[in-house]
Amino acid sequence: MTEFAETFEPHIASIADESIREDVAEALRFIHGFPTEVVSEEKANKGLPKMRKQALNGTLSVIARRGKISALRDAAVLISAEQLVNILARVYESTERQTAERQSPAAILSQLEPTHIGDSPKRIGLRRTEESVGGRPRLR
Amino acid sequence: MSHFLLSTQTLFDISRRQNLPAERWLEGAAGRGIYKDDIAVSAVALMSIEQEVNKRINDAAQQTSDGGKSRVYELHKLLSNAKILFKNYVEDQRVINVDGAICERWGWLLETKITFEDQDGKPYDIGSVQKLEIACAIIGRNNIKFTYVDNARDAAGAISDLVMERPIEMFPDGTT
Repeated sequence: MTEFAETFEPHIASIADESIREDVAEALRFIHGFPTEVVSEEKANKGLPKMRKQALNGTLSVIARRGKISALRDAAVLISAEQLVNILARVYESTERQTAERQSPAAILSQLEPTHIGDSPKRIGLRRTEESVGGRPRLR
Repeated sequence: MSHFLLSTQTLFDISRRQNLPAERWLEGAAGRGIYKDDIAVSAVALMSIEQEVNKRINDAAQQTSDGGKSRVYELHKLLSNAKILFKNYVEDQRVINVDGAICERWGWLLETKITFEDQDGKPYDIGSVQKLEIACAIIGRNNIKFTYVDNARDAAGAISDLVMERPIEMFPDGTT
């Protein structure tokens, strides 16, 4: 069992377009925590139900000829939709556009005027507004 | 990278602009690698603050003294601050709207009595609005859960999958 990024990193060099290669390499640097199993085509053909179950439980399967990735075009990935969304979200977070927009959250404070309000009550009345127990069972 | 959901109370405290722990938490965020787009608020926050502040304005308006008038003035400033703050989150699409998954989690929370301790250690049962915020934090967005930022404490550990951060613990009064 390896990690998704670790599995594909050695093969990035085979991407012909340099700009795409750099983007993919950068994206892979941010993708961690996705356990990955490389299986042969033969094993995949026989064990698809098991692989599907594994994918739904969070382990990606990479189907490669003879169980070894010799070129990217020889590998296919079986992945659950949830894992795919997780990967996309992590890549999105790390993109240049996203990081370029990173601003201090406190910048907005300069637009707020200081107030002079006493300390009581400290907490706002969310807790007083209504019930705490018994939503759905009381519905009719 | 963690993502954070400010509670209505935290938003309220920041809107007071009195250098309270919530405001210091926001000021200290960038130093911890937390940026604007890592922080969100729930869709119910502004409505809840408006409701609370308007109630306090009505109470203060009943007082005929100068103190009452001054308090009304200050409360209007607070409300204006809250609107500016909330608008900032709206513009950056950092308001968490209620979807089906959040509603489902909220439904479970509504059936559970949950007691928090406020910043002074006083227990209180949380109501449905705060439960909705907590459901927003637990479900998160794009499969990324939020850390819920509030001075209260889930003393009994009733919500096992809720991660909280307490500004008052990190930036207690008297510190910067």
